[in-house]
Amino acid sequence: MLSGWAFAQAPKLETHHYTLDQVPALFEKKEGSDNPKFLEAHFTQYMGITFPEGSWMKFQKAGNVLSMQNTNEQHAWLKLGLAQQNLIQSHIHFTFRIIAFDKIMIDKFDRQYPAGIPDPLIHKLYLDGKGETVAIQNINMENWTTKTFEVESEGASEPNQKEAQRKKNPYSKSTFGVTATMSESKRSINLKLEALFPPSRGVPEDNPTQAELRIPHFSSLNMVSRFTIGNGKTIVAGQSSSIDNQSQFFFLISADIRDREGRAIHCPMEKEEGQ
Amino acid sequence: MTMKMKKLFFILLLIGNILPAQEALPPKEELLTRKYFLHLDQWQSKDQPYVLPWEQKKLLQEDMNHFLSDTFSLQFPEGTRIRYKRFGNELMMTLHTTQPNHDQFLLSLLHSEMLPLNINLTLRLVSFETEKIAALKLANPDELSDQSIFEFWKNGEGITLYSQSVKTMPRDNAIFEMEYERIHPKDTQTPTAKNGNTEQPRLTRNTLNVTPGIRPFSTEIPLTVISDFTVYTDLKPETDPTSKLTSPDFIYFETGTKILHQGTFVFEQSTSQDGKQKRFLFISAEIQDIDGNPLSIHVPD
Repeated sequence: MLSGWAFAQAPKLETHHYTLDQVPALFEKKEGSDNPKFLEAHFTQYMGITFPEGSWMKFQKAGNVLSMQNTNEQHAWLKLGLAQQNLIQSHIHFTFRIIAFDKIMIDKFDRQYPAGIPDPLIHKLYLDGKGETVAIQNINMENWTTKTFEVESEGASEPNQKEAQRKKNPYSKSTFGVTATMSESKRSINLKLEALFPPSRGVPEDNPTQAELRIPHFSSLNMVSRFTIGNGKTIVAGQSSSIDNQSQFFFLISADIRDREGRAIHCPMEKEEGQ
Repeated sequence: MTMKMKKLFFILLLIGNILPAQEALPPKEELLTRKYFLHLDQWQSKDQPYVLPWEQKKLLQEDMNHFLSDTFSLQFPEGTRIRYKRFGNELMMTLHTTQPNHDQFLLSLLHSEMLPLNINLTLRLVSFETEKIAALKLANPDELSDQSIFEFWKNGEGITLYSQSVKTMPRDNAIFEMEYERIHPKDTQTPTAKNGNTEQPRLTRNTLNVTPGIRPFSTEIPLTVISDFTVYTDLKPETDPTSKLTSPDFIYFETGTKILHQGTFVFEQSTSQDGKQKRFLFISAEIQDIDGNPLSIHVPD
Protein backbone atom coordinates (compact mmCIF):
# COMPACT_ATOMS: atom_id res chain seq x y z
CA MET A 1 0.00 0.00 0.00
CA LEU A 2 1.26 3.46 -0.82
CA SER A 3 1.68 5.82 2.04
CA GLY A 4 2.69 9.43 2.51
CA TRP A 5 6.18 8.16 3.31
CA ALA A 6 6.55 6.84 -0.25
CA PHE A 7 5.96 10.31 -1.71
CA ALA A 8 8.32 11.98 0.74
CA GLN A 9 11.38 10.00 -0.35
CA ALA A 10 14.49 12.02 -1.18
CA PRO A 11 15.03 12.46 -4.93
CA LYS A 12 17.44 10.01 -6.51
CA LEU A 13 20.85 11.57 -7.05
CA GLU A 14 23.25 10.58 -9.81
CA THR A 15 26.84 11.56 -10.51
CA HIS A 16 27.74 12.61 -14.04
CA HIS A 17 31.00 13.98 -15.42
CA TYR A 18 31.18 16.62 -18.14
CA THR A 19 34.39 17.11 -20.09
CA LEU A 20 34.52 20.78 -20.99
CA ASP A 21 35.98 21.88 -24.31
CA GLN A 22 37.38 25.02 -22.75
CA VAL A 23 37.97 26.34 -19.26
CA PRO A 24 35.49 29.11 -18.50
CA ALA A 25 37.13 32.41 -17.51
CA LEU A 26 35.28 32.17 -14.24
CA PHE A 27 37.32 29.13 -13.20
CA GLU A 28 40.53 31.09 -13.57
CA LYS A 29 39.45 33.46 -10.82
CA LYS A 30 41.06 33.25 -7.45
CA GLU A 31 37.97 31.99 -5.66
CA GLY A 32 36.91 29.93 -8.69
CA SER A 33 37.02 26.29 -9.46
CA ASP A 34 38.59 24.99 -6.26
CA ASN A 35 35.72 26.24 -4.18
CA PRO A 36 32.63 24.01 -4.48
CA LYS A 37 30.39 26.58 -2.76
CA PHE A 38 31.46 29.22 -5.27
CA LEU A 39 30.72 26.82 -8.14
CA GLU A 40 27.28 26.01 -6.77
CA ALA A 41 26.42 29.68 -6.27
CA HIS A 42 27.56 30.51 -9.78
CA PHE A 43 25.63 27.69 -11.46
CA THR A 44 22.53 28.56 -9.42
CA GLN A 45 22.64 32.20 -10.43
CA TYR A 46 23.47 31.75 -14.10
CA MET A 47 22.06 28.36 -15.03
CA GLY A 48 19.26 27.98 -12.53
CA ILE A 49 20.72 24.76 -11.09
CA THR A 50 19.41 23.90 -7.64
CA PHE A 51 21.31 21.75 -5.16
CA PRO A 52 19.10 19.59 -2.92
CA GLU A 53 20.55 17.93 0.15
CA GLY A 54 23.27 15.44 -0.73
CA SER A 55 24.15 17.04 -4.06
CA TRP A 56 27.52 18.54 -4.90
CA MET A 57 29.64 19.93 -7.72
CA LYS A 58 33.38 20.08 -8.34
CA PHE A 59 35.80 20.84 -11.13
CA GLN A 60 39.03 18.98 -11.88
CA LYS A 61 41.52 21.10 -13.78
CA ALA A 62 43.26 17.96 -15.04
CA GLY A 63 41.16 17.03 -18.03
CA ASN A 64 38.70 19.94 -17.57
CA VAL A 65 36.12 17.69 -15.94
CA LEU A 66 33.09 19.19 -14.24
CA SER A 67 31.37 16.66 -11.99
CA MET A 68 28.00 16.94 -10.35
CA GLN A 69 25.90 14.72 -8.12
CA ASN A 70 22.29 15.78 -8.49
CA THR A 71 18.85 14.76 -9.78
CA ASN A 72 18.28 13.84 -13.42
CA GLU A 73 16.34 17.06 -13.96
CA GLN A 74 19.21 19.22 -12.67
CA HIS A 75 21.67 17.26 -14.86
CA ALA A 76 19.45 18.05 -17.88
CA TRP A 77 19.48 21.76 -16.96
CA LEU A 78 23.27 21.71 -16.53
CA LYS A 79 23.82 19.97 -19.86
CA LEU A 80 21.58 22.48 -21.63
CA GLY A 81 23.37 25.39 -19.93
CA LEU A 82 26.83 24.04 -20.84
CA ALA A 83 25.71 23.50 -24.45
CA GLN A 84 24.29 27.04 -24.62
CA GLN A 85 27.70 28.39 -23.63
CA ASN A 86 29.43 26.03 -26.05
CA LEU A 87 31.37 24.46 -23.18
CA ILE A 88 30.42 20.98 -24.36
CA GLN A 89 30.18 19.76 -27.94
CA SER A 90 26.79 19.33 -29.50
CA HIS A 91 25.45 18.36 -32.89
CA ILE A 92 22.09 17.96 -34.55
CA HIS A 93 20.56 14.60 -35.33
CA PHE A 94 18.02 14.71 -38.15
CA THR A 95 15.58 12.18 -39.44
CA PHE A 96 14.05 12.97 -42.81
CA ARG A 97 11.02 10.95 -43.80
CA ILE A 98 8.77 11.01 -46.84
CA ILE A 99 5.45 9.42 -45.93
CA ALA A 100 2.68 8.64 -48.40
CA PHE A 101 -0.90 8.79 -47.11
CA ASP A 102 -4.05 7.81 -48.90
CA LYS A 103 -5.40 10.89 -50.70
CA ILE A 104 -9.04 10.25 -49.75
CA MET A 105 -8.20 10.12 -46.03
CA ILE A 106 -6.06 13.27 -46.26
CA ASP A 107 -8.73 15.09 -48.29
CA LYS A 108 -11.22 14.64 -45.43
CA PHE A 109 -8.78 16.13 -42.91
CA ASP A 110 -7.76 18.84 -45.35
CA ARG A 111 -11.31 20.18 -45.58
CA GLN A 112 -11.53 20.24 -41.76
CA TYR A 113 -8.36 22.32 -41.41
CA PRO A 114 -8.48 25.00 -44.11
CA ALA A 115 -5.18 26.58 -43.08
CA GLY A 116 -3.46 23.20 -43.31
CA ILE A 117 -3.60 19.95 -41.34
CA PRO A 118 -1.70 20.50 -38.04
CA ASP A 119 1.71 18.86 -37.95
CA PRO A 120 1.04 16.93 -34.71
CA LEU A 121 -1.98 15.28 -36.36
CA ILE A 122 0.07 14.18 -39.38
CA HIS A 123 2.77 12.88 -37.05
CA LYS A 124 0.17 10.94 -35.05
CA LEU A 125 -1.29 9.41 -38.23
CA TYR A 126 2.22 8.29 -39.14
CA LEU A 127 2.89 6.84 -35.66
CA ASP A 128 -0.47 5.05 -35.83
CA GLY A 129 0.69 3.30 -38.99
CA LYS A 130 -1.71 5.09 -41.34
CA GLY A 131 0.98 6.08 -43.84
CA GLU A 132 3.60 4.30 -45.90
CA THR A 133 7.25 5.26 -45.50
CA VAL A 134 8.55 6.01 -48.98
CA ALA A 135 12.00 7.17 -47.88
CA ILE A 136 13.88 7.67 -44.62
CA GLN A 137 17.31 9.05 -43.86
CA ASN A 138 19.12 9.76 -40.57
CA ILE A 139 22.00 12.13 -40.43
CA ASN A 140 24.16 13.95 -37.88
CA MET A 141 25.13 17.51 -38.72
CA GLU A 142 27.47 19.94 -37.04
CA ASN A 143 26.29 23.46 -36.40
CA TRP A 144 26.46 25.78 -39.43
CA THR A 145 27.13 23.00 -41.93
CA THR A 146 25.46 22.15 -45.20
CA LYS A 147 24.74 18.67 -46.52
CA THR A 148 23.57 17.75 -49.95
CA PHE A 149 20.71 15.35 -50.52
CA GLU A 150 19.60 13.70 -53.70
CA VAL A 151 16.02 12.70 -54.11
CA GLU A 152 15.20 10.35 -56.93
CA SER A 153 11.71 9.54 -57.95
CA GLU A 154 10.56 6.78 -60.23
CA GLY A 155 7.45 4.69 -60.56
CA ALA A 156 8.45 2.93 -57.35
CA SER A 157 7.80 6.06 -55.34
CA GLU A 158 4.21 6.03 -56.44
CA PRO A 159 2.99 3.16 -54.27
CA ASN A 160 -0.60 3.24 -55.45
CA GLN A 161 0.13 2.95 -59.11
CA LYS A 162 -0.20 -0.17 -61.15
CA GLU A 163 2.83 -1.60 -62.86
CA ALA A 164 1.60 -0.60 -66.32
CA GLN A 165 1.26 3.01 -65.23
CA ARG A 166 4.64 3.09 -63.55
CA LYS A 167 6.42 2.73 -66.86
CA LYS A 168 4.81 5.90 -68.11
CA ASN A 169 5.95 7.89 -65.11
CA PRO A 170 8.79 10.23 -65.77
CA TYR A 171 11.97 9.67 -63.85
CA SER A 172 12.95 12.64 -61.77
CA LYS A 173 15.94 13.55 -59.69
CA SER A 174 16.47 16.65 -57.63
CA THR A 175 19.31 17.79 -55.43
CA PHE A 176 18.90 20.07 -52.50
CA GLY A 177 21.13 21.42 -49.78
CA VAL A 178 20.23 21.53 -46.10
CA THR A 179 21.97 24.05 -43.86
CA ALA A 180 21.40 23.62 -40.13
CA THR A 181 22.03 26.06 -37.31
CA MET A 182 21.21 25.71 -33.65
CA SER A 183 19.65 28.67 -31.90
CA GLU A 184 21.73 30.14 -29.06
CA SER A 185 19.19 28.77 -26.59
CA LYS A 186 19.68 25.25 -28.01
CA ARG A 187 15.93 24.86 -27.87
CA SER A 188 15.38 25.10 -31.60
CA ILE A 189 17.12 24.51 -34.92
CA ASN A 190 16.97 26.69 -38.01
CA LEU A 191 16.91 24.84 -41.30
CA LYS A 192 17.48 26.23 -44.74
CA LEU A 193 16.47 24.11 -47.70
CA GLU A 194 17.79 25.07 -51.07
CA ALA A 195 17.41 23.45 -54.45
CA LEU A 196 20.99 23.17 -55.72
CA PHE A 197 20.26 21.99 -59.23
CA PRO A 198 17.02 22.15 -61.10
CA PRO A 199 15.36 18.75 -61.16
CA SER A 200 16.01 16.68 -64.24
CA ARG A 201 13.15 14.72 -65.62
CA GLY A 202 12.86 12.23 -68.35
CA VAL A 203 9.86 11.56 -70.53
CA PRO A 204 8.29 8.21 -71.26
CA GLU A 205 10.31 6.64 -74.05
CA ASP A 206 7.96 3.82 -74.84
CA ASN A 207 5.37 5.97 -76.51
CA PRO A 208 6.09 9.66 -76.58
CA THR A 209 3.18 10.40 -78.89
CA GLN A 210 0.82 9.59 -76.02
CA ALA A 211 2.08 12.59 -74.16
CA GLU A 212 -0.79 14.88 -73.44
CA LEU A 213 -1.47 18.16 -71.75
CA ARG A 214 -1.73 17.59 -68.04
CA ILE A 215 -2.94 19.73 -65.23
CA PRO A 216 -0.17 21.39 -63.25
CA HIS A 217 1.70 19.22 -60.84
CA PHE A 218 3.28 20.58 -57.68
CA SER A 219 6.47 19.25 -56.23
CA SER A 220 7.44 20.18 -52.69
CA LEU A 221 10.77 18.38 -52.78
CA ASN A 222 12.12 21.10 -55.00
CA MET A 223 11.18 23.76 -52.54
CA VAL A 224 13.39 26.49 -51.20
CA SER A 225 12.54 27.68 -47.72
CA ARG A 226 13.80 28.43 -44.24
CA PHE A 227 12.08 27.45 -41.03
CA THR A 228 12.60 26.56 -37.38
CA ILE A 229 12.08 23.24 -35.60
CA GLY A 230 11.78 22.85 -31.85
CA ASN A 231 14.53 20.69 -30.34
CA GLY A 232 13.20 17.14 -30.02
CA LYS A 233 10.20 17.78 -32.25
CA THR A 234 8.88 16.58 -35.60
CA ILE A 235 7.35 18.95 -38.11
CA VAL A 236 5.96 18.75 -41.62
CA ALA A 237 8.34 20.74 -43.81
CA GLY A 238 6.13 20.37 -46.85
CA GLN A 239 3.68 18.15 -48.67
CA SER A 240 2.54 17.56 -52.19
CA SER A 241 0.28 15.33 -54.22
CA SER A 242 1.53 12.34 -56.18
CA ILE A 243 1.40 12.51 -59.95
CA ASP A 244 -1.62 10.20 -60.09
CA ASN A 245 -3.27 12.16 -57.23
CA GLN A 246 -3.91 8.92 -55.33
CA SER A 247 -1.45 9.73 -52.53
CA GLN A 248 -0.29 12.74 -50.62
CA PHE A 249 3.43 12.86 -49.77
CA PHE A 250 4.46 14.51 -46.52
CA PHE A 251 8.02 15.55 -45.82
CA LEU A 252 8.56 15.04 -42.07
CA ILE A 253 11.69 16.30 -40.34
CA SER A 254 12.61 15.32 -36.77
CA ALA A 255 15.47 17.13 -35.06
CA ASP A 256 17.34 16.56 -31.78
CA ILE A 257 20.32 18.38 -30.39
CA ARG A 258 22.67 15.76 -28.91
CA ASP A 259 25.91 15.65 -26.97
CA ARG A 260 29.05 13.92 -28.25
CA GLU A 261 27.85 10.60 -26.79
CA GLY A 262 24.63 10.91 -28.80
CA ARG A 263 22.39 11.66 -25.80
CA ALA A 264 19.67 14.27 -26.22
CA ILE A 265 20.18 17.76 -24.84
CA HIS A 266 16.75 19.05 -24.00
CA CYS A 267 14.87 21.54 -21.89
CA PRO A 268 13.69 19.28 -19.04
CA MET A 269 10.56 21.18 -18.09
CA GLU A 270 9.22 20.84 -21.62
CA LYS A 271 9.82 17.09 -21.63
CA GLU A 272 8.16 16.61 -18.25
CA GLU A 273 4.97 18.25 -19.41
CA GLY A 274 4.91 16.23 -22.58
CA GLN A 275 4.74 19.30 -24.79
CA MET B 1 -42.04 27.86 16.71
CA THR B 2 -39.18 26.82 18.95
CA MET B 3 -35.95 28.81 19.17
CA LYS B 4 -34.12 26.13 17.13
CA MET B 5 -36.73 26.23 14.38
CA LYS B 6 -36.56 30.01 14.30
CA LYS B 7 -32.78 29.82 13.86
CA LEU B 8 -33.13 27.27 11.05
CA PHE B 9 -35.80 29.37 9.33
CA PHE B 10 -33.52 32.42 9.57
CA ILE B 11 -30.58 30.51 8.08
CA LEU B 12 -32.71 29.19 5.21
CA LEU B 13 -33.97 32.70 4.55
CA LEU B 14 -30.42 33.98 4.49
CA ILE B 15 -29.25 31.25 2.11
CA GLY B 16 -32.25 31.92 -0.11
CA ASN B 17 -31.20 35.53 -0.39
CA ILE B 18 -27.51 34.86 -0.86
CA LEU B 19 -27.75 32.21 -3.59
CA PRO B 20 -29.54 34.35 -6.15
CA ALA B 21 -27.06 37.11 -5.42
CA GLN B 22 -24.17 34.70 -6.17
CA GLU B 23 -25.79 33.62 -9.44
CA ALA B 24 -25.97 37.25 -10.49
CA LEU B 25 -22.19 37.62 -10.21
CA PRO B 26 -20.35 37.36 -13.54
CA PRO B 27 -18.35 34.12 -13.86
CA LYS B 28 -14.70 34.51 -12.94
CA GLU B 29 -12.40 34.56 -15.94
CA GLU B 30 -10.55 31.29 -16.33
CA LEU B 31 -6.83 31.47 -15.65
CA LEU B 32 -4.49 29.50 -17.89
CA THR B 33 -0.84 28.53 -17.43
CA ARG B 34 1.63 28.88 -20.28
CA LYS B 35 5.41 28.96 -20.58
CA TYR B 36 7.39 31.65 -22.35
CA PHE B 37 11.10 32.01 -22.99
CA LEU B 38 12.81 35.38 -23.06
CA HIS B 39 16.22 35.73 -24.60
CA LEU B 40 18.00 38.06 -22.19
CA ASP B 41 20.65 39.28 -24.67
CA GLN B 42 17.90 41.40 -26.21
CA TRP B 43 18.32 43.99 -23.48
CA GLN B 44 21.36 45.94 -22.31
CA SER B 45 21.52 47.66 -18.95
CA LYS B 46 23.01 50.79 -20.47
CA ASP B 47 19.85 51.28 -22.54
CA GLN B 48 17.59 51.04 -19.49
CA PRO B 49 16.81 53.60 -16.77
CA TYR B 50 17.35 50.87 -14.15
CA VAL B 51 19.49 47.79 -13.55
CA LEU B 52 17.95 44.84 -15.34
CA PRO B 53 16.40 42.44 -12.81
CA TRP B 54 18.49 39.44 -13.87
CA GLU B 55 21.72 41.40 -13.60
CA GLN B 56 21.17 41.92 -9.91
CA LYS B 57 22.55 39.41 -7.45
CA LYS B 58 19.12 37.97 -6.81
CA LEU B 59 16.26 37.93 -9.28
CA LEU B 60 13.37 39.59 -7.45
CA GLN B 61 9.78 38.88 -8.45
CA GLU B 62 8.60 42.48 -8.14
CA ASP B 63 11.51 43.82 -10.23
CA MET B 64 10.72 41.31 -12.95
CA ASN B 65 7.00 42.14 -12.85
CA HIS B 66 7.87 45.81 -13.21
CA PHE B 67 10.16 45.05 -16.17
CA LEU B 68 7.45 43.02 -17.96
CA SER B 69 4.84 45.67 -17.33
CA ASP B 70 7.19 48.35 -18.64
CA THR B 71 8.42 46.40 -21.69
CA PHE B 72 5.39 44.39 -22.78
CA SER B 73 2.52 46.26 -21.08
CA LEU B 74 1.80 43.04 -19.20
CA GLN B 75 -1.05 43.45 -16.75
CA PHE B 76 -1.59 41.60 -13.50
CA PRO B 77 -5.29 40.90 -13.07
CA GLU B 78 -6.41 39.22 -9.85
CA GLY B 79 -5.04 35.70 -9.52
CA THR B 80 -2.10 36.23 -11.89
CA ARG B 81 1.01 34.32 -10.84
CA ILE B 82 4.42 34.23 -12.51
CA ARG B 83 7.39 31.95 -11.83
CA TYR B 84 10.79 32.67 -13.28
CA LYS B 85 13.73 30.40 -13.92
CA ARG B 86 16.92 31.68 -15.42
CA PHE B 87 19.19 29.35 -17.33
CA GLY B 88 22.07 30.71 -19.34
CA ASN B 89 20.94 33.66 -21.40
CA GLU B 90 17.32 32.69 -21.20
CA LEU B 91 14.54 33.22 -18.76
CA MET B 92 11.76 30.68 -18.57
CA MET B 93 8.58 32.34 -17.46
CA THR B 94 5.57 30.34 -16.29
CA LEU B 95 2.62 32.71 -16.53
CA HIS B 96 -0.72 31.90 -14.91
CA THR B 97 -3.21 34.52 -16.06
CA THR B 98 -6.33 35.25 -18.13
CA GLN B 99 -6.66 34.42 -21.82
CA PRO B 100 -6.77 38.11 -22.90
CA ASN B 101 -3.62 38.79 -20.91
CA HIS B 102 -1.86 35.84 -22.59
CA ASP B 103 -3.06 37.13 -25.98
CA GLN B 104 -1.77 40.61 -25.26
CA PHE B 105 1.60 39.23 -24.15
CA LEU B 106 1.88 36.97 -27.22
CA LEU B 107 1.08 39.89 -29.52
CA SER B 108 3.80 41.97 -27.84
CA LEU B 109 6.30 39.13 -28.29
CA LEU B 110 5.21 38.76 -31.91
CA HIS B 111 5.64 42.48 -32.48
CA SER B 112 9.09 42.44 -30.84
CA GLU B 113 10.04 39.44 -33.01
CA MET B 114 10.94 37.52 -29.87
CA LEU B 115 8.77 34.55 -30.69
CA PRO B 116 10.33 31.90 -32.94
CA LEU B 117 7.68 30.90 -35.42
CA ASN B 118 7.03 29.60 -38.90
CA ILE B 119 4.46 30.43 -41.51
CA ASN B 120 2.77 27.54 -43.22
CA LEU B 121 1.73 28.20 -46.81
CA THR B 122 -0.74 25.86 -48.48
CA LEU B 123 -1.69 25.85 -52.14
CA ARG B 124 -4.67 23.87 -53.39
CA LEU B 125 -5.89 23.45 -56.93
CA VAL B 126 -9.59 22.59 -56.78
CA SER B 127 -11.89 21.75 -59.66
CA PHE B 128 -15.66 22.33 -59.56
CA GLU B 129 -18.29 21.55 -62.13
CA THR B 130 -19.04 24.76 -64.02
CA GLU B 131 -22.78 24.25 -63.47
CA LYS B 132 -22.32 24.13 -59.70
CA ILE B 133 -20.34 27.35 -59.68
CA ALA B 134 -23.06 28.96 -61.82
CA ALA B 135 -25.66 27.82 -59.26
CA LEU B 136 -23.52 29.21 -56.44
CA LYS B 137 -23.32 32.54 -58.26
CA LEU B 138 -27.11 32.61 -58.55
CA ALA B 139 -27.38 32.03 -54.80
CA ASN B 140 -24.95 34.91 -54.18
CA PRO B 141 -26.15 37.54 -56.67
CA ASP B 142 -24.20 40.42 -55.10
CA GLU B 143 -20.74 38.92 -55.03
CA LEU B 144 -19.30 35.44 -55.15
CA SER B 145 -16.48 35.94 -52.66
CA ASP B 146 -13.34 33.85 -52.31
CA GLN B 147 -14.65 32.79 -48.91
CA SER B 148 -17.94 31.50 -50.40
CA ILE B 149 -16.06 29.34 -52.89
CA PHE B 150 -13.71 28.10 -50.20
CA GLU B 151 -16.64 27.29 -47.88
CA PHE B 152 -18.20 25.40 -50.82
CA TRP B 153 -15.05 23.25 -51.00
CA LYS B 154 -14.86 22.83 -47.20
CA ASN B 155 -18.41 21.44 -47.28
CA GLY B 156 -17.28 18.62 -49.53
CA GLU B 157 -17.85 20.04 -53.00
CA GLY B 158 -15.23 19.97 -55.75
CA ILE B 159 -12.22 17.75 -56.27
CA THR B 160 -8.78 18.66 -54.93
CA LEU B 161 -6.59 18.08 -57.97
CA TYR B 162 -3.32 18.86 -56.23
CA SER B 163 -2.23 20.44 -53.02
CA GLN B 164 1.08 21.50 -51.62
CA SER B 165 2.34 23.12 -48.45
CA VAL B 166 5.66 24.57 -47.42
CA LYS B 167 6.88 26.18 -44.23
CA THR B 168 8.93 29.32 -44.17
CA MET B 169 9.75 32.19 -41.85
CA PRO B 170 8.53 35.78 -41.95
CA ARG B 171 10.35 37.78 -44.63
CA ASP B 172 11.95 34.61 -46.03
CA ASN B 173 10.77 33.51 -49.40
CA ALA B 174 9.63 30.01 -50.19
CA ILE B 175 9.98 28.84 -53.75
CA PHE B 176 7.62 26.24 -55.10
CA GLU B 177 7.94 24.39 -58.31
CA MET B 178 4.44 25.04 -59.43
CA GLU B 179 3.70 23.68 -62.82
CA TYR B 180 4.71 20.61 -64.66
CA GLU B 181 3.07 20.09 -67.94
CA ARG B 182 3.61 17.86 -70.86
CA ILE B 183 2.66 19.60 -74.04
CA HIS B 184 2.05 18.59 -77.59
CA PRO B 185 4.99 19.67 -79.67
CA LYS B 186 2.76 19.79 -82.71
CA ASP B 187 2.05 23.26 -81.36
CA THR B 188 5.72 24.08 -81.69
CA GLN B 189 7.92 24.44 -84.73
CA THR B 190 10.57 21.79 -84.09
CA PRO B 191 12.55 20.76 -87.16
CA THR B 192 14.76 18.51 -84.99
CA ALA B 193 11.93 16.16 -84.01
CA LYS B 194 12.83 12.46 -84.00
CA ASN B 195 11.99 10.33 -87.00
CA GLY B 196 9.97 13.07 -88.54
CA ASN B 197 7.47 12.73 -85.69
CA THR B 198 6.34 16.22 -84.83
CA GLU B 199 4.64 15.09 -81.65
CA GLN B 200 7.68 14.95 -79.47
CA PRO B 201 6.72 15.76 -75.89
CA ARG B 202 8.04 18.79 -74.09
CA LEU B 203 7.99 19.82 -70.47
CA THR B 204 7.31 23.25 -69.12
CA ARG B 205 7.85 24.39 -65.60
CA ASN B 206 6.99 27.46 -63.62
CA THR B 207 8.09 28.47 -60.15
CA LEU B 208 6.24 30.49 -57.58
CA ASN B 209 8.10 32.68 -55.12
CA VAL B 210 6.11 33.47 -51.98
CA THR B 211 7.34 35.78 -49.21
CA PRO B 212 5.17 36.13 -46.12
CA GLY B 213 5.45 38.98 -43.63
CA ILE B 214 4.01 39.86 -40.24
CA ARG B 215 2.17 43.06 -39.36
CA PRO B 216 2.80 44.82 -36.03
CA PHE B 217 0.35 43.91 -33.25
CA SER B 218 -1.65 41.84 -35.69
CA THR B 219 -1.92 38.26 -36.86
CA GLU B 220 -2.37 39.26 -40.50
CA ILE B 221 0.13 37.86 -42.98
CA PRO B 222 0.88 39.97 -46.01
CA LEU B 223 1.95 37.66 -48.84
CA THR B 224 4.04 38.77 -51.75
CA VAL B 225 3.59 36.27 -54.54
CA ILE B 226 5.72 36.40 -57.65
CA SER B 227 5.70 34.02 -60.54
CA ASP B 228 9.41 33.91 -61.10
CA PHE B 229 10.52 32.20 -64.27
CA THR B 230 9.84 29.47 -66.72
CA VAL B 231 12.01 26.55 -67.70
CA TYR B 232 11.38 24.69 -70.90
CA THR B 233 13.07 21.36 -70.51
CA ASP B 234 14.40 19.86 -73.75
CA LEU B 235 13.32 22.97 -75.58
CA LYS B 236 15.55 26.00 -75.64
CA PRO B 237 13.80 28.76 -77.52
CA GLU B 238 16.37 31.27 -76.36
CA THR B 239 19.29 29.37 -77.94
CA ASP B 240 17.57 27.61 -80.79
CA PRO B 241 15.75 30.18 -82.92
CA THR B 242 14.22 27.42 -85.02
CA SER B 243 12.43 26.08 -81.94
CA LYS B 244 9.66 28.32 -80.89
CA LEU B 245 7.04 27.56 -78.29
CA THR B 246 3.73 28.81 -79.55
CA SER B 247 1.22 27.12 -77.27
CA PRO B 248 0.34 26.43 -74.56
CA ASP B 249 1.86 29.10 -72.39
CA PHE B 250 1.22 29.56 -68.71
CA ILE B 251 -2.24 28.77 -67.63
CA TYR B 252 -2.24 30.37 -64.24
CA PHE B 253 0.30 33.02 -63.59
CA GLU B 254 1.61 36.22 -64.93
CA THR B 255 4.73 37.61 -63.37
CA GLY B 256 3.72 40.15 -60.79
CA THR B 257 3.20 40.83 -57.14
CA LYS B 258 0.07 40.53 -55.10
CA ILE B 259 -0.38 41.33 -51.45
CA LEU B 260 -2.70 39.02 -49.59
CA HIS B 261 -3.59 38.63 -45.93
CA GLN B 262 -4.00 35.81 -43.47
CA GLY B 263 -6.70 33.32 -44.35
CA THR B 264 -7.50 31.72 -47.67
CA PHE B 265 -7.77 33.44 -51.01
CA VAL B 266 -8.43 32.50 -54.58
CA PHE B 267 -5.21 33.34 -56.32
CA GLU B 268 -6.29 32.45 -59.84
CA GLN B 269 -9.10 30.71 -61.60
CA SER B 270 -9.46 29.18 -65.01
CA THR B 271 -11.78 27.03 -67.06
CA SER B 272 -10.90 23.62 -68.43
CA GLN B 273 -10.50 23.23 -72.19
CA ASP B 274 -13.91 21.57 -72.56
CA GLY B 275 -15.54 24.27 -70.40
CA LYS B 276 -17.05 21.74 -68.00
CA GLN B 277 -14.75 22.47 -65.05
CA LYS B 278 -13.81 25.64 -63.19
CA ARG B 279 -10.45 25.44 -61.50
CA PHE B 280 -9.51 27.57 -58.53
CA LEU B 281 -6.10 27.94 -56.96
CA PHE B 282 -6.42 28.68 -53.24
CA ILE B 283 -3.58 30.02 -51.13
CA SER B 284 -3.76 29.74 -47.33
CA ALA B 285 -1.32 31.12 -44.79
CA GLU B 286 -1.09 30.37 -41.08
CA ILE B 287 1.28 31.40 -38.29
CA GLN B 288 2.56 28.33 -36.43
CA ASP B 289 4.79 27.77 -33.43
CA ILE B 290 8.00 25.83 -33.95
CA ASP B 291 6.26 22.57 -33.08
CA GLY B 292 3.83 22.99 -35.99
CA ASN B 293 0.80 24.05 -33.94
CA PRO B 294 -1.29 27.02 -35.09
CA LEU B 295 -0.49 30.10 -33.04
CA SER B 296 -3.87 30.93 -31.65
CA ILE B 297 -4.13 34.59 -30.64
CA HIS B 298 -7.35 36.49 -30.23
CA VAL B 299 -6.62 40.04 -31.32
CA PRO B 300 -8.54 42.48 -29.12
CA ASP B 301 -10.73 45.02 -30.97
